[in-house]
Amino acid sequence: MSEPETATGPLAGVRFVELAGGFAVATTGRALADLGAEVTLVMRSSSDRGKVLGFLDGGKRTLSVADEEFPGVAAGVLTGAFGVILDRSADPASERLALGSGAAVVLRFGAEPAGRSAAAVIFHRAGQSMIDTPGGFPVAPPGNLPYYDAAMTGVFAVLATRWSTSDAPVSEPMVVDITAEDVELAHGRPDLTRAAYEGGSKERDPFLALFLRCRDGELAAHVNHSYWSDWVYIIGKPELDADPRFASMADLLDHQAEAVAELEDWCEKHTRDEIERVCQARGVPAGSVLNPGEVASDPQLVHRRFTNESGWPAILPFVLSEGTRWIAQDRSKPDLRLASELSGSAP
Amino acid sequence: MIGSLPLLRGVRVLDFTWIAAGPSGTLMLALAGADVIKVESRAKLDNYRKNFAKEGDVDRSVLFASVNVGKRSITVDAKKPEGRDLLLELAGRVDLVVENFSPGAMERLGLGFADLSRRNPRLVMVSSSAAGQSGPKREYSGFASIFSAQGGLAAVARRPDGTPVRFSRSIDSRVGTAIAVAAMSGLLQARRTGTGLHLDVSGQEVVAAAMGDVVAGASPIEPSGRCFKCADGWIYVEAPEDDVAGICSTLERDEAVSVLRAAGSSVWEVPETAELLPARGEEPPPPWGSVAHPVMGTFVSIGSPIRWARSDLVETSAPPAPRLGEHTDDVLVEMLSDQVPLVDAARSAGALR
Repeated sequence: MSEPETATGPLAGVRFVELAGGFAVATTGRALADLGAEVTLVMRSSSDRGKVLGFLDGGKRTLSVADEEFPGVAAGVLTGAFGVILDRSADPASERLALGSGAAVVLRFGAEPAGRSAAAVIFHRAGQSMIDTPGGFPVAPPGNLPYYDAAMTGVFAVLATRWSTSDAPVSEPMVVDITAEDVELAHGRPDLTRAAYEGGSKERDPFLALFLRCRDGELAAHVNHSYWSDWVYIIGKPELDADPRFASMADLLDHQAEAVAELEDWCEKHTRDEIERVCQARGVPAGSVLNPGEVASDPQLVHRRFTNESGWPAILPFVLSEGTRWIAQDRSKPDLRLASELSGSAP
Repeated sequence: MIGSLPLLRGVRVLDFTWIAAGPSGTLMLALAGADVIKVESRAKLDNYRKNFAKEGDVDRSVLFASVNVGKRSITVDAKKPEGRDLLLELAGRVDLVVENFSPGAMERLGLGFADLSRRNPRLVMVSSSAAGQSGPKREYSGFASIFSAQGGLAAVARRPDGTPVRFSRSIDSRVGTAIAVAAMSGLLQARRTGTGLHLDVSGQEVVAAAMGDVVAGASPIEPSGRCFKCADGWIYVEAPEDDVAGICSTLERDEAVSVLRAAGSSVWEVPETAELLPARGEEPPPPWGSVAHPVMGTFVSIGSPIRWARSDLVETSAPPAPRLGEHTDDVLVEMLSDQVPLVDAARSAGALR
């Protein structure tokens, strides 16, 4: 499997400016770079990007500029750019420059809570932590998932704007505003719409999403009544297919604990991989619960070259049918010459 | 209202997606103005129509109605040769095909990318599946809870007793965003090169990418805070002290928040699902909007979370989710008026149902 030249990607030749911001801004810039765009990241030399943002800055031309030179450099870089990405209100002067720069699209991420828990707070406030288990214990994942979600939505918005916009200079940009909280709320659309329509009552889903203990970990299994019939043969207890406790999906739901006990009695004698293979060979949806540290070495993701040599995952979760993945070439060296030209000072 | 914008006006999509993930993606295209033509069949109903139909009415499913706003519906039985031939002809006249069946299903119907691109060399196709169209697990079937397990999310989102939290339709929605991004990427590439292409979205990769910084070991897997139960609901506290649980158990949320903030803690209320719903009888705040459905009546749902602004941009009301096959005749007249024998053959064979 090979990586294509990003000069041939869908955004080849299209210039974007990323005014240094948080995770959502950096992820968007990285995704656009992966799609072939020439992304110039303008950041203040006093800022510390850290490990995560440092990875997301790969594939971009990076200008590290002294605070007093920032406005002048930003203004120069913005000239001729198709799009600008920034955190709203982080730097009002730069935002005004972006809006008046002639760029066709200005993508603003904004109004998020601050602090270490910001991502978790957004996840909770948008109802994502209880959307699938109302009345259950609210849990937010670690990391920056809501900001990744916001970035992917921002990428869609930029691409849709690109589709509808020519390369001619514009007198007025498309201003796109995205908040991670709205994006997370929208990810709850089916369940929230249902809750609003049904007045808060919730019929049970006609399936079980189970986590079964295995000899070496856990297995996720999606069990409807048809798959239950497969499971009882897999575990060597075909008589359970006629057991009145499990006669219908409603019965399965009523006797969920007993069903799980039957399955786990067998699963605990086998490894996750064994069970996954046996189930999938029969067309039964099941998959090992992988710890984050195991994900990169999953054979499926290895085959699809999901992570690079340094173990960093892809931003865009798709490949072209021949197996190639759009990935930005590394342009991460600061371009001191360009910075000096723009600011009028010697390098 | 749930609004639609004309950004993708003129883009025509033949939409084979079903249930949750695929339709969430084509919903984004529809709300951006694309003409999304949903291919359905009475011979194999979308699970959201079949399993969630009120009073057995397949046009009365709130889940279906929530993710299919703005689309048109045609009924064509792709398993009949006449139906397949009609779909091949339609594929020759659209910009984009999207599907989320198990890998190989479209090929077995004679509607794989090789079949469609022979008819339409500029066609873009997006296929979405549990693990992708290539690799040792390419034939794996899966649902959202499986993707969340295989992408590293289930392992780190656990209750205090250690049980993983189930994430279902919200994960499907995230796959939908990936489908929409892949679709737009493909359309732009095809426009640039003049040649179509096939893009392959993996549910497992969607979750793993969203957890990317954790998968890479760059962000800790231990949360910096946790939730506590108060008398009337939950709060989230960053770096909680040992006595927080005791404080919360005797207080209502707003009291607990006040007490803890006064003591210097970072704390937030965690809303229950019911608290996120707009008040009945009032205009719902964005991204919520009203939908007027001919069968289900008027209800509220969630539109696009993207706020677009440009003075020439006019937002119109997106039509409600279609009734089954509602637009079959219209689409055939509009797109295949020069193929009367083909349409007649499909109708005679019972393939338009």
